[in-house]
Amino acid sequence: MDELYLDNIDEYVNDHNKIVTYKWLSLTLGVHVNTAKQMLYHYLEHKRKESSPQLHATYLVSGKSVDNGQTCHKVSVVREEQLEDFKSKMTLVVSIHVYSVQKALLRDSGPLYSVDYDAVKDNLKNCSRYSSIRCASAVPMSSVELRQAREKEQAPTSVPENKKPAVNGGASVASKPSAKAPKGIMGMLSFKSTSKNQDGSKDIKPEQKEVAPVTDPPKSKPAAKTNPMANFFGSQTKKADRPIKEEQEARTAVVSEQNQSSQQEEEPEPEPAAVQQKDTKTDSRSKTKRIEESDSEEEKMEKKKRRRIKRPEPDSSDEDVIPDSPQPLETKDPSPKKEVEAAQLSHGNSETKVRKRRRVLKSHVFLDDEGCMVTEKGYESESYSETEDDFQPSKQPRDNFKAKLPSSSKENEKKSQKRSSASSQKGTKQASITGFFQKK
Amino acid sequence: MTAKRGLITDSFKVVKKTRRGGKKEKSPTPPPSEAEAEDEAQTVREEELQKLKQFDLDWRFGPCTGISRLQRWERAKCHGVNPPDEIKDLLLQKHTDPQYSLSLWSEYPF
Amino acid sequence: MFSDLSAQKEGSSVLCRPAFEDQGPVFERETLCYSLCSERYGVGERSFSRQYAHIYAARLMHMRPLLSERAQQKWGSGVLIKKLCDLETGQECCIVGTLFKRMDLQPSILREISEEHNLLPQPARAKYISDADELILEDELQRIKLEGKIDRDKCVTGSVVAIYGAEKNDGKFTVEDFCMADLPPQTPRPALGSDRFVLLASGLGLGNSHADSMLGLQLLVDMVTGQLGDTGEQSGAATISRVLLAGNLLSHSTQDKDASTKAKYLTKKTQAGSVEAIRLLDELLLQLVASVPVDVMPGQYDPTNYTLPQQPLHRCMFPLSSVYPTLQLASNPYEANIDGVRFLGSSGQNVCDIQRYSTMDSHLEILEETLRLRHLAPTAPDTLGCYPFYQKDPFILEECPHVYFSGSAPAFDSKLIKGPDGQEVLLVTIPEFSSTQTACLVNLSTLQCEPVCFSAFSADEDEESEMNVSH
Repeated sequence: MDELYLDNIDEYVNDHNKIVTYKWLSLTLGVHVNTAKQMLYHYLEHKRKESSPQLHATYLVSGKSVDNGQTCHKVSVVREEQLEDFKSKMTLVVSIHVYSVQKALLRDSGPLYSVDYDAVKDNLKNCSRYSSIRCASAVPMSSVELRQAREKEQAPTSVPENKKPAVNGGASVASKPSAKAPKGIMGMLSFKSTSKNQDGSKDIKPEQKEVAPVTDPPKSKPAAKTNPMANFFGSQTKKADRPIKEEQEARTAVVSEQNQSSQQEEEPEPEPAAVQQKDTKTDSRSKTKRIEESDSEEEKMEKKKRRRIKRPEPDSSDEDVIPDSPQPLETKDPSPKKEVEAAQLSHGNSETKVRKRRRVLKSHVFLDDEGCMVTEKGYESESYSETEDDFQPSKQPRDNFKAKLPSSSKENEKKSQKRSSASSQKGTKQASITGFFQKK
Repeated sequence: MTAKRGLITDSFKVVKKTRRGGKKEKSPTPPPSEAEAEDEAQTVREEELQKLKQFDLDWRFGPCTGISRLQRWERAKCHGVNPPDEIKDLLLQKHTDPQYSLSLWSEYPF
Repeated sequence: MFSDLSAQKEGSSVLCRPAFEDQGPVFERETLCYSLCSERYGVGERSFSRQYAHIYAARLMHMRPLLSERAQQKWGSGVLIKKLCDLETGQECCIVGTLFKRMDLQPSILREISEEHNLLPQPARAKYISDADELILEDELQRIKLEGKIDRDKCVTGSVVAIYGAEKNDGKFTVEDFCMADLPPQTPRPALGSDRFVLLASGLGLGNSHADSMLGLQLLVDMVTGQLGDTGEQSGAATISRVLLAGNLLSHSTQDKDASTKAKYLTKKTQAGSVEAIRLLDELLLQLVASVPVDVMPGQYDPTNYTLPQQPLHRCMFPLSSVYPTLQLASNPYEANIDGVRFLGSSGQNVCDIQRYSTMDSHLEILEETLRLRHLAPTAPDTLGCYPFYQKDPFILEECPHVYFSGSAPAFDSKLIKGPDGQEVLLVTIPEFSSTQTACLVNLSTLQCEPVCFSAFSADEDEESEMNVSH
């Protein structure tokens, strides 16, 4: 009975042809790591006595070693045949134990990592249960504690903002465009993680569940506006990968900030409803997909704008795509039919937008802040479909944007002409964009 | 970039608006009293603004673009360069008036 | 030595049959009192509308009294300390100011975009110094060219120093001697009864294509969490009371080069390279934080802001590990008090930048130089990205740390230096883990530091190179 584990290991090693590391064994059998090491040793000893052929082992050796005059603590995994040699090179051997046992001879140590990785991944929640060190303070926080901790964390970040002028904060000249956004993000993040924790133990893929409540809103009135968005999140779950999903959840959270709390309460029930809703929406999947695309593009562009200081002209024509891409969101409810058509179109060629677009050289004359008349020419992408009106307002922001940099706009323009010939790195980027436009 | 530019234009608008507002307030209110009083208030104001300009121009307190006068005063104070207390009092009194609180070059783009 | 400490136990071997009544030893992790002191590296309101003139002005304002004092100590209390505007030709005096090195090779965006010279983009270089460089000293109002006994190539822009000498007829200032602010005052370190360690690691480089380095990383995690070794080793590992990851957790290769050069519509559906790497990091961190408190600093390649001070990584990237109170996402630079021992350091950008703009090559030497200059990152904002602070320069050292480190170094190195007022500082360059498989342990009670190397075997390198894996 005592020795049952020998049969177990034998089965893993010989029948399953596995690499059995001490850690894998410990996690698989649920024994202390040291016990697992001893088991492997015992098994190896046992097998060697039986003189059964072909068992390879690797050992872990740690100790003091002097390399290039530098004394260091060295931890190594070595093959059995190198063990003695290795030990002799150490000034002081601290510990040796069997690291793994396997049938085949390992050429390199890569597989040892993969084996452990899989085992650890399956036991992420209690990966240190069988280790020999306990840490009293390393206890996962409950959702309540988490929330408190985050609130505390949030408080200091907002405090410096207030008292900032005294330290290194903003000049009064500077308004705070970004100040609000972090709060929103913070808010939704704390919302997100707390709700996740309510899912409790099966934390590994909480997103699936979490999305469901978001898809639910129809019953609550203020949420009606978020509905189309939520729908797209619903279908999103199936294909998108996690990080994107998180981002988008985050966005929804912002939109539906007011009814956050109510949603949270509703969490347990809405699932069936949400599923149903999803089913009914399946045929409009492509539609939602399209929105998702444009949406994420907008996000990306937003980020980009923030990062870039100066954009060359051709790029900003790309920018024009942004403002009008959310448009479908608004038009969607009144005229779903058109959208479906659009969706079909975009299904065939996902890159093509429904509305056609051309690049036009336009000149604008405006008064800049110093009161100077500024004329500037620039390429703009323009839509000339029936939805001209939709598009018109979207150009507005860019004009403003330009008006604000009268001094640099000229340079910009010149640059843009120059750029095509310039052999800078940017050249490649630009080429691909213009290529895109020329194709049509 | 957009953020930055946005800031500047924002501040332009704000400055112009508030100043116009401020002046309107200033000019209609004094009339009830006598014209002399208004003149006096005007000269006091001129003097004060002159002092603040001198403060702006004092290189010992560091560059003055992009930050408010009070912030500049506080920085000088915290590095022990002894900015005049008079200036701080003035700034605290009139902190709502952009002509007082903002430095001489606050309207220049930089 | 950590090895000696771990080896003391008798009968700890696990090369024996398991005894079933014994459920295996369990050691308590030593915990320490800890406080993060990195508030000064927070960027509250992010306004980028200000000029960098403020940061230089604030730096000089802060350093001037300190340097005047040093100058008086060095050249006698009667030394004449002047401003550049009062300078008279031929008069020996002392001047406090900020160094500026004019370098022809310094990359300049203005030069690159200027249309007149149709220049090719400059090649990236290891060093941007040349013989034509000029050293200039600036104070609040003026600047003057320097020559004489000051090592032009060693100095870097942004350092505040006091120089002694005289202006010659040609308008240049001949330096006879110069001095730096030297180490700031230090709070004495409490005497600690027992050996406790803090493990420092940097440059984990997750997400790069070489998966073979992963076993080393896993061994590191297993050692710290008390899985590896026999009971002696494990009891030693229990004295590792904190782990500090000093930046570059993700590999350079996770930064998608295509993202900036390719059209958006082409990369719309591709996943950022860092996503998978962050997930991997989260899993690694989870293993660590379940057993030991961990501080995580961002580095040059990590997903946070690029300019110094880098703000902590956001916890939403770590859904698994961030539920543990033992995970501390910290800023870069990092400053904390661990059991009375003050740690200060960065992920290495400041040191690498100075390396590019001076003759100094050793990271340890540069680290010491910045300590003597009393400034973490003198080259910011000139050649190193930096937030436009205006009220205070947070990179000026106001309190002397006991452990001063920088990450992402090519090799491990450490040195204990003494300051003029009895300060004791351990300098550590934390090697890049992904290339050296080396981390280091700082003993809090003795301020000694030793490297910990991990190695495995691989197919091509047999016997001889096996010992060298760690280099």
